[in-house]
Amino acid sequence: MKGKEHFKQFSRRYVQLMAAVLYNCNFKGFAEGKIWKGNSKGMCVPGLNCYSCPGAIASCPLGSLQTALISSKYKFPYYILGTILLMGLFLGRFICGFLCPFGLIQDLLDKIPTPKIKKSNITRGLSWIKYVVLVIFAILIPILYSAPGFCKYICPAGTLEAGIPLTILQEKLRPMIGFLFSWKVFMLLLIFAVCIFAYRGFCRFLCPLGAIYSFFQPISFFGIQVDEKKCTHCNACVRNCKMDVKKVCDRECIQCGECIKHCPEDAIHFGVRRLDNKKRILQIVLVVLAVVIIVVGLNNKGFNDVKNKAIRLCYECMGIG
Amino acid sequence: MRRIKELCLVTVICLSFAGLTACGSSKAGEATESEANIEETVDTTTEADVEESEDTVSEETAPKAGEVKELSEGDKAPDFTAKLADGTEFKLSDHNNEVVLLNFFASWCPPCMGEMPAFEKLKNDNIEGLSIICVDCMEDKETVDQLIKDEGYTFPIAYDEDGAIEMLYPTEGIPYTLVIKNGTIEKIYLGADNADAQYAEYKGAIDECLK
Repeated sequence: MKGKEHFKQFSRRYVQLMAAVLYNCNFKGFAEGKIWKGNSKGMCVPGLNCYSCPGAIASCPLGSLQTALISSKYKFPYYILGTILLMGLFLGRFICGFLCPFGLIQDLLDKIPTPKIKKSNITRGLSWIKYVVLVIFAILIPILYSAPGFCKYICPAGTLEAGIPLTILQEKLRPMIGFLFSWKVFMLLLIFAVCIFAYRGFCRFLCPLGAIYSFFQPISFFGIQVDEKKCTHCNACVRNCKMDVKKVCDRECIQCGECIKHCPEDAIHFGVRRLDNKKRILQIVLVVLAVVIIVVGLNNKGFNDVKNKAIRLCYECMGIG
Repeated sequence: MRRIKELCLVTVICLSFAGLTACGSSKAGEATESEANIEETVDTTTEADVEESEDTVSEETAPKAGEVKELSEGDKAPDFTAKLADGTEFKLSDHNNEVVLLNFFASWCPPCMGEMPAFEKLKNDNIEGLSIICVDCMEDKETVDQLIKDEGYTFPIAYDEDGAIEMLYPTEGIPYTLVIKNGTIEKIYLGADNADAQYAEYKGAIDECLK
């Protein structure tokens, strides 16, 4: 019985850990400092996980999106857009809460006992930064300047998972370290510092992938929801939530399920979302659209395009070159 | 109990994702096969072929380790025949008494595109006894053609849609540039600075080889 209680309390941590290990299960790569080059790199994992990480067996959706946008003048990135659309439609920001390895890192950083910055209108305002980051760094810079802007200048996962381990493991990469690497290490440390003092600081304020998935929150297939019949509008859920939410499952909700424990009426639970007809139709239309553009993308050799980029070291992600 | 059920549901959804993507890719394979009569050459780049060539290369070059070993300076440069964008062919062994500047690049790789003007400049220098060849890593013929048209490159660019040439010159990342003299690798460059710096770098190495 004790085991079951333990599982109930820490189930999210286990899912996060499983996801992180599953994404990065090329353990041989960590020993040799070599990246995985198999066909699975043509697929994307849902969470933020750098494909230049020696352990990564699949691609990062955000990294792939940026490199695909760089070559969008030659080829429209159907496959990757369809994949992100489909993942968002199924799970929304549940991915942030359960399936993102960098989310796990942030959750662990939050365990460091320091005074924490409480959520307020200021942090709610700061949460809009991620949409700016999405548009400027993840979309406009790749299209206009042919550089994966987010990977190159911000992404802490790339520095942590690829830049630092690979420059330690491979001597020949070390001469390529320049100002950019110092900048990215500085960004990583800054983001870590923010995450120590503000719960999931990167997730809340900066992550463009979270910003993308947040658009799908109202129509995701699976998610957390409030039983309106049981709800007494006591607001315990929002008060106890560490994210900048205004109601359960709005754009800032990472569906971590913390509110379930705090709800006195037991009105919140995970499951297949009950949607009104209008949203249901939109959802079905988008799922069909996503599947169609994935198929179009696959016929367009989108799978190979994603793989070909992911099997080569991304020097920008690592902050070198 | 409900919690466990829900976790199972999540797992099922995740698996169905993987399944869907896998099914999708096999469907795509069939589709390309059916279009085979239209574009036979393009069809050879399906995954199965890439995998096959990967296997054969690794068996030939490194039978013990089972993994492709990277080349180092002083090694013999593996011979290859490349189809160039201008319609001609390039066979490395035909240039055995020359200096060959071999570069691997891709249109989506910003550092690669950054150093392209260096090759253009070297080509315009008309150096006696130097051949330049830039191999586009596994991109479609159409993409490469469009790239050449957009950027106005005049130096020789080779297609490598199935990655066959790259298999012989395995590298972790691109840009990857080799200076080959009389069939032996003299110098290897990984990564690239800006075009001017790379031009000076390559020019120096080539002059050294031609001395």
